[in-house]
Amino acid sequence: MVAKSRIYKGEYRDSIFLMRISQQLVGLDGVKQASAIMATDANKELLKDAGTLTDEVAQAGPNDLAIVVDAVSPERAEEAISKAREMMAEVVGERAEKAEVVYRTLDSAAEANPDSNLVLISVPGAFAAREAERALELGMHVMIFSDGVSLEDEVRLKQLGRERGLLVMGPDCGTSIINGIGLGFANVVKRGPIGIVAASGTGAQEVSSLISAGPGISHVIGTGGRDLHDEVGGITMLMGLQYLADDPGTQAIVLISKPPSPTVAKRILDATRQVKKSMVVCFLGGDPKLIEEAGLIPATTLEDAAAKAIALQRGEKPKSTIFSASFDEVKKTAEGGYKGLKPGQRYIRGIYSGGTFCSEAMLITRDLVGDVYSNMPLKPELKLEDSNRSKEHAFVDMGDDEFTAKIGKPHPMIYHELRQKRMLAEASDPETAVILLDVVLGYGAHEDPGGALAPTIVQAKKIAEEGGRYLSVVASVCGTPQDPQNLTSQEEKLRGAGVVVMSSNAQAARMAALIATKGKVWEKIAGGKL
Amino acid sequence: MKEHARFLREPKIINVGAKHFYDDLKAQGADSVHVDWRPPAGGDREMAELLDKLKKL
Repeated sequence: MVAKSRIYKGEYRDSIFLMRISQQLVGLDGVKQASAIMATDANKELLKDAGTLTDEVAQAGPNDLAIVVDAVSPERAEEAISKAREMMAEVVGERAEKAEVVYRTLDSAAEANPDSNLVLISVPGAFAAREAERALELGMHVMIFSDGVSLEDEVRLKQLGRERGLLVMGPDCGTSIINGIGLGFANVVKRGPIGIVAASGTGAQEVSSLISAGPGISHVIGTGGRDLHDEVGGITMLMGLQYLADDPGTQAIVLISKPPSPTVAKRILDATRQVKKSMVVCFLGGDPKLIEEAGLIPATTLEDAAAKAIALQRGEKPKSTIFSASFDEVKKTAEGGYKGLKPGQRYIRGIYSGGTFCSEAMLITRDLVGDVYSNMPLKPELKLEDSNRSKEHAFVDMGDDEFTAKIGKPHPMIYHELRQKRMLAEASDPETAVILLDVVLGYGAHEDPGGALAPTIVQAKKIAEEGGRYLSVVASVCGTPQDPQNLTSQEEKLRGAGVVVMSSNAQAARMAALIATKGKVWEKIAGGKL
Repeated sequence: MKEHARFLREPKIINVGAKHFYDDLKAQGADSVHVDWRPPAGGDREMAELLDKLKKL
């Protein structure tokens, strides 16, 4: 092992760009580990833990770019560093070729483009509030993709925004779609009459993608995950609701969030009384009674929210979807999944990239199979002692900080290595009956997640087979045929690897429960319709 | 017509930070510009806040 490094003093690059460079370096022949990073204390700590902190990186500062490569030989390490520089130079060259104007500050960009009305902020968390405040002062709406902004700053910014009639989407807002333009992680959806206000990015992606197959989407307004906390009080959800209520292009509205506190829930539901449009409310895991009492339609899952919004918009009676395919077809698929299981194979292992998908799947499966352990459990007593080791039914949210920021790894929607390792570990466990996955497409996500995961799935199934077992893998793909990755082709790649692909995360969770129980939960799921 | 209607009808975006998001905006044909953001005051947050305060005086 040879760790080589190079420092470029005073050269700043954004973290997403650097992660992509790092990933490409890891793919080079003879390279074991590679990091292109800003030499901040946190990043140096991560290198130290990985055993690749060189003296020159240790002495570099937070404004210095560092490339560190651990390779089989010094030559290979040097080659990788040169390659990284080439890749960086290419991007600068491309930009110059396109003769694009690049601004140094928000102020200079705003001055040269006085019509601008929205600022998308993805700078490191410590500086995000500063940029957001400036944007609001300049009279522009804001979407803060960055996380790591304090709750105090969030409250302050949202109050300032409200005073000025400006929307503050975020912090930690993953997804918005404004007039067909996706911001952050968003799918390419059909334009149409249904609007969404969502405190969950992946929740918004699932609902907007499913509605895209029907009448289509007007706007998706993301609020950030803390908006409905008592301290913030739902400022952005309330403003977003008002925007959609006033928007002539929006006929029906969907609200998506985890269950808020009773005070905030009341505030939101009271506000809906002024809205003269059809409304569906999905407080995932919350009590639907509160919503019904407000005269609104409650939805129990993300798919349910999409289906009910479509029905309302069409003037039909809202109904729930259990499976898209006929029960006969579903039964046949499930039988195919469990007929080869050994008696000891009893458990579902969910390996998730989207936190909301993980929660939704746990809410569905716990009613069918009982307790589900997790790093983000539904009840505190179901927390996994070690997030890296599953126990009984176990679902892990691998987008959580402990698998990403804290260990310096990119999010599993753009990087699959940790999910791949976890899949192989679960396949080796003789108690695993089903591996359950989410795959997220759209702008921001990996360019070919199906293609990246398929070989691992084949390998996982092989591991089980060598142990004399059959392993089922069930997945759903969140996306649309118009996404850059193409929903249809991604689903085909997964099916080609032997995956049972379902048309929503909720259906995938039900299918996993059916397989793990060898069909015993049929009655519970279908309500005696079989 | 409400003031916020323009933002929903005609979003004109300034991207501050990840270049990747700007590339996605351009790929969608969005009216957008990019700020090649660098940490202010050499990455010293307290110094940056101090400079902001001075600017407002």
